[in-house]
Amino acid sequence: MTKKFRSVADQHRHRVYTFAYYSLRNREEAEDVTQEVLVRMWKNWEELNEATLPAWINRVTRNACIDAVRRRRAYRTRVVATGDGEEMLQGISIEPGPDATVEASELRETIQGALASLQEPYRSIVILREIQDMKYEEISKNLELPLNTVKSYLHRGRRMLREKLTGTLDHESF
Amino acid sequence: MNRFEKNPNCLWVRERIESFLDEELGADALTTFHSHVDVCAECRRELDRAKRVLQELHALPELYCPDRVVDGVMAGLEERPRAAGRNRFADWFGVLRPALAGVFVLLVVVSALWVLDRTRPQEITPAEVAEAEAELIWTIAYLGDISRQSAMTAATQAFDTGMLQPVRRAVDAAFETESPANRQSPRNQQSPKTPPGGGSV
Repeated sequence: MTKKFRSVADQHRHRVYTFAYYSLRNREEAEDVTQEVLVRMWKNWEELNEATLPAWINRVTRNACIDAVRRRRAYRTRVVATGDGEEMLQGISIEPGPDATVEASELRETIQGALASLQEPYRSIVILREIQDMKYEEISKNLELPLNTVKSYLHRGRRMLREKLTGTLDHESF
Repeated sequence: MNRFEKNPNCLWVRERIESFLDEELGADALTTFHSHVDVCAECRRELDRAKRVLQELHALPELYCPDRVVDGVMAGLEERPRAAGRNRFADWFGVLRPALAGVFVLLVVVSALWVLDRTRPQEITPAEVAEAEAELIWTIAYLGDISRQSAMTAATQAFDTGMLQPVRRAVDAAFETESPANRQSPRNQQSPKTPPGGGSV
């Protein structure tokens, strides 16, 4: 059973990790989320089947990322509340360091930052559709949202990204 | 007055840029869109920005998840076989649980019946009934005797301590004043007083 689990985990881990990384923009947190998702998958192994697994993985991954963002916010609030927060925050690796960053242009890096700063569900929908190339129907099923709502959120999410990036885009292109 | 108020078509186009990029505009809308973008530099620039963002998003790569992530999970699962060994008892216990519950209920029922049987009253013989009656009569008589003795003792003590003296006096006084016999007493029937100066005629 563990052999089969390993095989399925290998099949899905990159997708989970990619989603987590673009949501959190931090490699360690993305690895933690991926592990968390795989452990949950093992715990629910008996109930899962091939047909429902991808949707289940997407849902659990998204929830794990939302939890990670909440934990991060709570931690930041706690650290700042202790008084000498600014100094301590400088030691926290929330943004990726130079080694951790995906090799990318400045614009690509800025886009990643803007993407991670989007609110839910815009962030998830943009990642699933534009980066992970998922169909609208799948996104709608995974996030349990009506199809038209998914389309509307996607357009709004992209527009928000554009607004965040206007300065950078103008600087690069014009 | 902002630009959109000058040209309402700008607002119309801005709202449809994403649909245009997703090729969701109908033929008429597409014509209107193109005809405006061709003449409006600002909207053309906005469209270029949107295209660029989409391009960059599509260019973001699927990332490789390091092997250590899955290795870590699998290492954690190594504990599972041992855990499974421990859980075998739990699994059997789970299967046997209804049977064990049945045995427990049976034990409770049997114990209850046994206790009820022991506490059930035995058959009583006529001799025992007679004995019980005699004991009851004796008890009633005894209690009557005690109460009588108590009453006598209380009365004697009341007389001895003079507690009833005021009562006795009150009763005597009542007899003296109210009783008709008292009014007809011999003392009152003595010869009437001779009027003053009067004698026999």
